[in-house]
Amino acid sequence: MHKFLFSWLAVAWVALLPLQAAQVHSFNDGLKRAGDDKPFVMFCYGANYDQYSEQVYEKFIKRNTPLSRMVKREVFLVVPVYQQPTDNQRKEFEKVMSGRRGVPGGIWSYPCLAVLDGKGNFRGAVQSGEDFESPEKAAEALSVLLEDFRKQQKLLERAGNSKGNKSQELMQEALNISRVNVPGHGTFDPANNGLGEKLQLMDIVTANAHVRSLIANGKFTLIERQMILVALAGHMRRKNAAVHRMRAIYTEIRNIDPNSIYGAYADGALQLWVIPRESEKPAAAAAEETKG
Amino acid sequence: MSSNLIKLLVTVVVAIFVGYLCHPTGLVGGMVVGIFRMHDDMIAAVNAEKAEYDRKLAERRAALANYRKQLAEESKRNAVTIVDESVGDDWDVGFDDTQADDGDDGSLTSSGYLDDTVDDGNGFADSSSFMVGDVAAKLYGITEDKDAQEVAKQTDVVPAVPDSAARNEMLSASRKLERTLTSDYNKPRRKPYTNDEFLEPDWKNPGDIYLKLAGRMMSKLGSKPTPRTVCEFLEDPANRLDLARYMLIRKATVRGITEVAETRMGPSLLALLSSDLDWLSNILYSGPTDRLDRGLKYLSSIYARYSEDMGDIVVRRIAATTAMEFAREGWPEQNMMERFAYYYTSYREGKLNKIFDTLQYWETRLVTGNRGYSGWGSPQSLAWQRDNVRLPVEGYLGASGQLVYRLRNVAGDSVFSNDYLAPYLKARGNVTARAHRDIGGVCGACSHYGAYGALASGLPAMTMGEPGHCAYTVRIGNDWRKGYSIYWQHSMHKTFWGMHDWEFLILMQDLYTDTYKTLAADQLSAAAEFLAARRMTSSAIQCYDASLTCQPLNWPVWLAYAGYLAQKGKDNKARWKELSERVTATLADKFHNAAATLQARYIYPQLLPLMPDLKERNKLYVAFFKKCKDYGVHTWDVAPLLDAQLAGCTTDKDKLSFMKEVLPHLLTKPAFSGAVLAWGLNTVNNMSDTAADDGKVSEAAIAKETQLQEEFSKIIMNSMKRLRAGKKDNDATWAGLGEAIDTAAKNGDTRTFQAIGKLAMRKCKEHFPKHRFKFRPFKGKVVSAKGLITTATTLDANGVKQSCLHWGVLQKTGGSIPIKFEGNSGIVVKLEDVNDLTGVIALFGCTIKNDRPFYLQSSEDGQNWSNIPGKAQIEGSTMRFDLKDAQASGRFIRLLREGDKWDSGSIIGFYVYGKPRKS
Repeated sequence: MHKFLFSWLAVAWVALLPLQAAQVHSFNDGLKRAGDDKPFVMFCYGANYDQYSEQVYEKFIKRNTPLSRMVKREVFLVVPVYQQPTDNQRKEFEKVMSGRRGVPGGIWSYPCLAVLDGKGNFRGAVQSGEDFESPEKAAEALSVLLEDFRKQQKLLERAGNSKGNKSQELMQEALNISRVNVPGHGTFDPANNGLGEKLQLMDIVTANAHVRSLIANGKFTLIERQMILVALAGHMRRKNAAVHRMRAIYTEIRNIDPNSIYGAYADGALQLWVIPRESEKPAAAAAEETKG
Repeated sequence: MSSNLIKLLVTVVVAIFVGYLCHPTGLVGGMVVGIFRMHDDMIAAVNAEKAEYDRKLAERRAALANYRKQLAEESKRNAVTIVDESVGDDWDVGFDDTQADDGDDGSLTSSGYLDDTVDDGNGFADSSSFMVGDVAAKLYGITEDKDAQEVAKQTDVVPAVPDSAARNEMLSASRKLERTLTSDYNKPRRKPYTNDEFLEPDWKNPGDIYLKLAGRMMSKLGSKPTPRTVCEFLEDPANRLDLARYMLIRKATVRGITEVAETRMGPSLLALLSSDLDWLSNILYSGPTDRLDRGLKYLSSIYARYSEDMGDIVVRRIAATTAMEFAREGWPEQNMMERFAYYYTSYREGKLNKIFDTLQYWETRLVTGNRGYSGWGSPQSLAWQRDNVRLPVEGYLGASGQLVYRLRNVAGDSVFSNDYLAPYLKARGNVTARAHRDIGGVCGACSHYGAYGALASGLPAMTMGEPGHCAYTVRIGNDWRKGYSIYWQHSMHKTFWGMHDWEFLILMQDLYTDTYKTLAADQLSAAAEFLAARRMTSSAIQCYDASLTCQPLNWPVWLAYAGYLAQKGKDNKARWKELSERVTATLADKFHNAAATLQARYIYPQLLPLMPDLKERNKLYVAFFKKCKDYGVHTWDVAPLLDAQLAGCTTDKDKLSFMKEVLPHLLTKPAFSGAVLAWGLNTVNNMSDTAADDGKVSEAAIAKETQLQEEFSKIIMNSMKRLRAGKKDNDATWAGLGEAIDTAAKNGDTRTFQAIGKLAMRKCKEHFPKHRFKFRPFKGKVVSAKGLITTATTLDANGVKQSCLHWGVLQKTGGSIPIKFEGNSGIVVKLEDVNDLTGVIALFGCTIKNDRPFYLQSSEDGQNWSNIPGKAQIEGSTMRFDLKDAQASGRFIRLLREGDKWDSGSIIGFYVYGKPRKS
């Protein structure tokens, strides 16, 4: 009987070995194991000040949950983050982070499941309160993020191996995966790069033509396209554009990606600035629609 | 499950069991019989309890009636004195026995008390005139209880200034009290002191309780209480509880307490609160108690809904602080309940930072009473930040960086318009913090995001205004650390005492960090207020004195003391002088600004009229400034103090004498020299304005102005001589002159601007650049070199220090002035005279952003502007306007740019060419 039990335990241990091996104990080790293509998942939590964080660690990560099973299949590091750390706590943190004094930028809240690449670039995170409502929800959010990461990595690799238009197309496709950041790619922000100011001097038709050609000729991600169109829509609104035009552009923005910030913004704009105007003068609007 | 329910269940089970054993009908019959028996037993027990309670109540009423009878007799004996000693209707808001008898059983009705409280229109009595412990009332002195007897003929007797032996005795007595409190509060397994003497029905007549407490305390304190006997009295927790109960009724007013007692759970709350020394002390001594009556009503509303949780001291703390702060701020009850529910739920769910569990009441008030119950402070926004910006406390200082800085959002709408966030809020709900994180914001949103992130987690933090900017602060350990701050001037958005300067935040922190010393001082101050209300002036003054000897950082006690002295010893020069000297000797040790404010606002207005000798005054001022080696805790504005000192001088001669004797003590200190120069320039400017106020500039007025200017220049020059040595002093001189020239520029004072510029060139030449510009000049002379230049940029502290370089911009060696072009804001040059212009050259220290046209405007008065025709010719960083054919003239020239703001860069040379207009 003892022999039998012992053998099974040994088999189970051997079976679990590859999974356990994925958990690392230092940041540099994690980077090494992640290599060129694997994601490196870090669970950062408030270790000495945040009861909720500690509970999440205890109940989501340490216990057998969908999330704990998932992270154990990845290159995975647990990082305790201390508030006003003692010397020992500081040393512990620095040991885990391989001498680094802070966590990578982009982490905005704890607990957090951050996804990095093998070079240490922050690529995305599960860190909202909503995502951490249950281990299942957190696992689902992480799973989507990891899937996107892998998809994006493949596209980036293929883009790197291709040339010319093909490479650009692949890069564009990679950038369109909005949940995951592409390292070194800044977002085109119409508010800060003068597009809004330029549009101010144009009439609606010229502004529309300018923006359309900008979008057609430039390499923009979905969210950037939404932002550029929001700039155009703002200009049109201030120029009192016809309501059907406003509906058209806000609908276009929303449909690019209804779940993004600017998808929501466009939806709100429709409710706030388009629908009331349409109900004010339904007949006139209908006539305009027909003309348009 | 509550203990009552468990008891009930156990009783039911036992009853069934007993019934089953005793009754032949078996289980069901047994149950019925058992339950009936139990019911009978319970009714009997309740009846017995009620009878006992009624008996106690009757005893108390009889005792109270007896006491009141004694009081009435004593009152009759002293009737004449009382009328004479009455402080008049304005103050007389205490008790009036004459109209309080309801005729039934000899007890006093509540309607007889506090007859002059005013309803504020919201259904709340405005008890501000009665809240002597609060800042506003401090200025008006102490209200006395109407029933107060003149014990030992103390009324209006201000005691002599204590000698050092008396002060040492005060100190040792208060230290002993402090030690007692420290040991009381730090006993292992300590149980809070409780005494349930006043039960629920008693609170229907708070006036009776008030009288009883007053009588009891007076009998214990004796006829001539001294600081020592008061301290000994306060060492007994029973006496501290009596004093706290008395203060509760006094501050909330009898009418206020009666109204609380009329609410559903009011009596129960009052009985609980008044039985618990810790809870009551925490409420009374954790900051201001304005509108305490309303605060208690709020607390009773919370208690009605969450009474079962009030055993938890953290819930109690959340409830009391939320109620107190919302009442104090005058915010609605509904929002108060929402705020309480937010912190209550977050605490229960373990979602607050662990620091919150250890906060004291005063700190919790900063958290639960965070400003704005909608927007950033709404429960939705707080909850979102709590769940999405969970950071260690130090992390909140950088949290503002999570927002994208956008003056205009992506759609081009300004942050100052509702359109900025409206569509997003419409689509995703009214969560301010989330909306700003996704859409962006400017300094206001960034700072609120950082501060409210901390507040949402239960950490003390607040936003603060800076000139043209918003920043915030988060407390880490006992240090308040600044986030997103660019300027030294901060106006705190949450204050206890209505003082917005940074120094008062640090003062408050230091005050309450010294927990037991402050608690001892607060007890003494409360005792002083009690004695003052009982018309025992001498003892009251001594107790205030002892309180400040014990804890000199207690700002509200300084005000209370000054207020009471103004009421009772207005003409007592010795006391006022001693008060001024004591402020200098104690508070000014570290808190120069607080000490200066106290002197300027509350002491000098009383003291200076009693002190006609200019030399004596100047000595007092110099003693203060000798204490100020540097700025102390934080840079502060010395001008109001100098204004108050100058206000004591009636003639120009006195004023100049004051400047000559006092100012050099400040001008030699690098920290103050710039501010004092600036103040002097402004003052002399205003003095000369007064000279010309008759509309005509007479020769005498001109002579007077010139004399003032010259005298002041002499003072400056003499002081500057002393600032010559050493590199450090040279930097300080440069900074001081910068501050002064900045003031001159703001005043439009060309002559001073030029004088300081030249002085700076002589004394700090190495700070100026040595450019050798090469450009084609225009016809005519450079008419701007003797003018004045200003920028639309809001200068930070460092920018102000470099202001002498602005003067350099007009000189051929060049200088530097930061630019900001936006709308009608740009660079303005004021010329010496009206000139016919031939050209303008502007040399930029950066690449010119020429995607929008630049243009010039001119004006003769600096108010009405007209465009000057002509285009800018831009070559590299040089901009030229050829005005040969423009026929432009004016005394003011301004350079503007079309389009949105451009504010990154500087101008290093600006030259206006022309010739003075002949007419």
